[in-house]
Amino acid sequence: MDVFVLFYLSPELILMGFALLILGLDLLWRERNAQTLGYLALAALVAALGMSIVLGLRVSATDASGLQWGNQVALFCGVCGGTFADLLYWAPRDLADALYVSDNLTNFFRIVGSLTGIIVLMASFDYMRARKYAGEFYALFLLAVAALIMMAASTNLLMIFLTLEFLSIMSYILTGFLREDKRSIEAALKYFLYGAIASAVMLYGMSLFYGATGSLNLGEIGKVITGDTNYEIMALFAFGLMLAGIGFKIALVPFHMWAPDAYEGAPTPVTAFLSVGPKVAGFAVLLRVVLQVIVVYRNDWVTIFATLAILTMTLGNVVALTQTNLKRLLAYSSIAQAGYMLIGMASISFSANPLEGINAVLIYIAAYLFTNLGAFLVVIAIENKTGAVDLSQYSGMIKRAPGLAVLMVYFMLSLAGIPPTAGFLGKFFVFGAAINADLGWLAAIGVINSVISLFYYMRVIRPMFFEVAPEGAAPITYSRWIRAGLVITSVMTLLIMLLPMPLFNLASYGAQIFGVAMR
Amino acid sequence: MIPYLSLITFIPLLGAIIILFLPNDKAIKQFAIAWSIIPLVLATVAWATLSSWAPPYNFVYNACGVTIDSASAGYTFGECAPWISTLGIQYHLGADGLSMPLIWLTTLLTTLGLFYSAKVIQNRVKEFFALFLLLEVGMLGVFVSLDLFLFYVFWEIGLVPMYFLIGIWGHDTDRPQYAAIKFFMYTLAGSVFMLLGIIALYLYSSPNTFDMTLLAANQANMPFSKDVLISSLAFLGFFLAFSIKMPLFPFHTWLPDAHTAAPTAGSVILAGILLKLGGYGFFRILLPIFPQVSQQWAFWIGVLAVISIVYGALVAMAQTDFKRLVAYSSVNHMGFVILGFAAAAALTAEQMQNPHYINNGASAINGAVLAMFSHGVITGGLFFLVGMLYERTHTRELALFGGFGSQIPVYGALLLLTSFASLGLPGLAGFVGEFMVMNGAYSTLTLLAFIAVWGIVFTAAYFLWKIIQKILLGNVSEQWAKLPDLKGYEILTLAPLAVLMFAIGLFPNWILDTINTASIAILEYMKRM
Repeated sequence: MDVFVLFYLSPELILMGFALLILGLDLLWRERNAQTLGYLALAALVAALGMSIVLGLRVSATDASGLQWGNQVALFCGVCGGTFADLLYWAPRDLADALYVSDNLTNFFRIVGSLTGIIVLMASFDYMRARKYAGEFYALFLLAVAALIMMAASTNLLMIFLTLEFLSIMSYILTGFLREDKRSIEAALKYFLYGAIASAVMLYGMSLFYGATGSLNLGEIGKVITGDTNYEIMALFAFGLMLAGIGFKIALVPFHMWAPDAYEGAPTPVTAFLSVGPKVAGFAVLLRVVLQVIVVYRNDWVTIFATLAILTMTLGNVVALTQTNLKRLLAYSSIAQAGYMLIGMASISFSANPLEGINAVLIYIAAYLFTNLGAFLVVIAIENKTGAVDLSQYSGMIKRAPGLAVLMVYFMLSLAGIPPTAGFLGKFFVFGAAINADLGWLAAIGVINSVISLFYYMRVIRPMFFEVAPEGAAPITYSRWIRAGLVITSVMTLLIMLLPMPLFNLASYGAQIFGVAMR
Repeated sequence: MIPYLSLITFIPLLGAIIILFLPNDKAIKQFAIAWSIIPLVLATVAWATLSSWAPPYNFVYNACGVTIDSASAGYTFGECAPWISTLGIQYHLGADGLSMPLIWLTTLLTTLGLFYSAKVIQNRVKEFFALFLLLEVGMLGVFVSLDLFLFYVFWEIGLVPMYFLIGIWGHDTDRPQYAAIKFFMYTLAGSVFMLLGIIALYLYSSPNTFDMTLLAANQANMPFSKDVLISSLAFLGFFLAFSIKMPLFPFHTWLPDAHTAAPTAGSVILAGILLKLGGYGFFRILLPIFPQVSQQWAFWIGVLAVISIVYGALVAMAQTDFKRLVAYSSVNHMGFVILGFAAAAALTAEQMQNPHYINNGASAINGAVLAMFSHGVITGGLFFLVGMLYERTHTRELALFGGFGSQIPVYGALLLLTSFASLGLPGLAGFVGEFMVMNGAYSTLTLLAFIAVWGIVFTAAYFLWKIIQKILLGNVSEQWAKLPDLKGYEILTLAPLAVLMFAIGLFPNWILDTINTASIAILEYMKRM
């Protein structure tokens, strides 16, 4: 294997290298220069984002226009090594025996992952300043982002399991990071217990695939299963078991039980990360497994995803209606949001029309990332200053922090899918894909759910605007890092709606690797 | 060419942003009023330009790859820019005789609303005026959009400021927060189904398009019009959105709460413009794009319209609260607009060949659109009058009023004028539109027209009995002995509306000529079904 292949791993290598560096420096400096370590972590994430974009660009051999998006590199496999020059040019090849790929989909999730990392990190600077072990936090956080990206790049059951466990363990530790806080410990323990069981079930499903097909590689399993319809029951059963593990990461109903408690107990920046990172990575794995392994049994997986979508949306939305703790409310909201993404999964129809499921899922993920992180940034800004995470403590926010209050309205509208927001565009693509796949009824259930969700999203707004602040409540100030995060998230939430073409192109390149050609 | 429509739509947005940076309440109020006059002037110029092209035209509409000989469609001021190219979504604006009067009315009522609010709104001034201008953007955007995606975006934008206007500045006794969320959720519930309908139209059109003008012009050859299930479901989605917005019985239950709880200027905009968004959709989208489905369901939609007319009138008669009464009167009047839609939609393919029926169809559409315009003027005025009385008495209980005709004569005269206009006295604005609707409905929906006439009787009854008799006649009670009459700014607020009531009632042609160009175009599209 050519050593230059490592170039195609650079975002992950940067993140892990910096994580180790931060750990080492933390050991030397003890608690002294925690903030510097935070900046180092931020630098690592920005570098990873930059490399992800560079990796996505390819030098086109045939096209005179020069730089274009889209390349595909398989790593750690027997036959696909090649030289650096080979790799640099677009060379479609059989990726069947790859362990790990650096393709358009990976690059999409690299960008999504490092952006999530950057925004969450900006939100955690203030939060960690007041707390101990900041250095360890930054190191673990970088590893979690690296794990997220690696999960999206895995095309082998073993690799999927390892990366998923990697991400899980990082998440457990981060959730229980407030060692003196009982709720944080309880949240971590709950998360761990559920997670351990889910992983075990998933491993059993993987073992079925291996036992039946003799391969751990998604592409090869797919070939065997596609060739013989006798495998249908086994494949779907095994996939169902794997779904327990992946669904746990995404927090799909009925594997969602951990989410509200973990979200409530975890340090709020970690909650923000949990609501986006693992979810997004879970969808990457889901896309790869469904489209490479059991793609022929489309009727079956459409039914599975449609059912799960209805359960996840409806339960998430209905339970969210009565929540008063904002972190819990956003937890149920994010469960419901995953339900809309599942509509996109159910609507994968390999259509040439841009309203196509894979596209819709990817666009929805990007829209959700900025919107949800934006909402969490507002919560964190208010919590840092007042310690408040309950709706009743939000009264009169418009007077205390007008900027935060107005942005919160914008993010809530985006989550509810009201234009002009990114969330609307995501829902538009998801429902459009559903109608395009002859699942109009599923789209109808989806829109009814988005009407229900409006009620609790507006419940967040109500005390902020309609009630009077308590006597003597001080204005809320927040650091420039949170301000920067808010600017990024709100501007992106608006831009995705106003100028959606770049995101659309990015998503459709991601969809191309599954042979879906968009016009 | 000056991009009139973009300017009219987005100048208020710029104003809302500028307001955020203004230092004090006085500056905000003066700026907002002055600023809102710009779109009013532009809209006036635009309408005048459109009228000057009155038939026969020598003008061809050409924008966004759509070329329409304006002899069959009166679109003008077309603007086009690419937006989401992969889905063929374009920033396509245009106006015709259907939208132009409503655009103008929006800018007028916004200016009047801001002018009146400058005197009565004292708390959270900055938010109020910024939201009010934002609301104007949403409403104008709906009227100028010719792309369904863009239309939907603007349709939803208007909901948010209205939610806050009701929730923050509503009177505490009217449960404003409840009314606000009820309004938001009801309207959203309708519009999300419209979104599904929009997507279905796109997917089942060939070539795939969101362009209203193309969908209407080519609907006969589109796949959706050949698929009864798809076109019926898409129709239903649009119908739900529009009839909740109108509101048509039985989707009207959000209206009394929202109208009652809203601050005066908010009620004026709600009744004056927001309801018209629904009516506009009926004529802009349902009739030209779904002529067949409209024709199939015309009778039953007419039945709902007649129920709205009669039920609205009877419920209004039962109210003891002045503002609630006016709110229900909107259900009553909007029924006529839908009846006009149903009457035009009911024309069969054979009847379309008969000039007599075509004339009746045109009369129904012209009447319905004029009724929308007049209702905006009249009910806008009524809500101002309700608010002015409330500012003086701090109650809206009709039972407590009486004798105000002699106590506050200027108020009495204006209330008398507006009430007569609303109940349809010939010579005033309300009469012309509703008469033309009845005229159109008589030939196609005879039975329904017959019942609807009784609605007019009930309308007269509640205005004469509940408003004129209870408020203006009788003896003045002790507590109102020192009630002051209208002040200068209040008269100034009402004066343009009063002038319009006479202008439409006595000389309806200046507006009917404009509307008629659009009605003919709509009928032309319907003929192709």
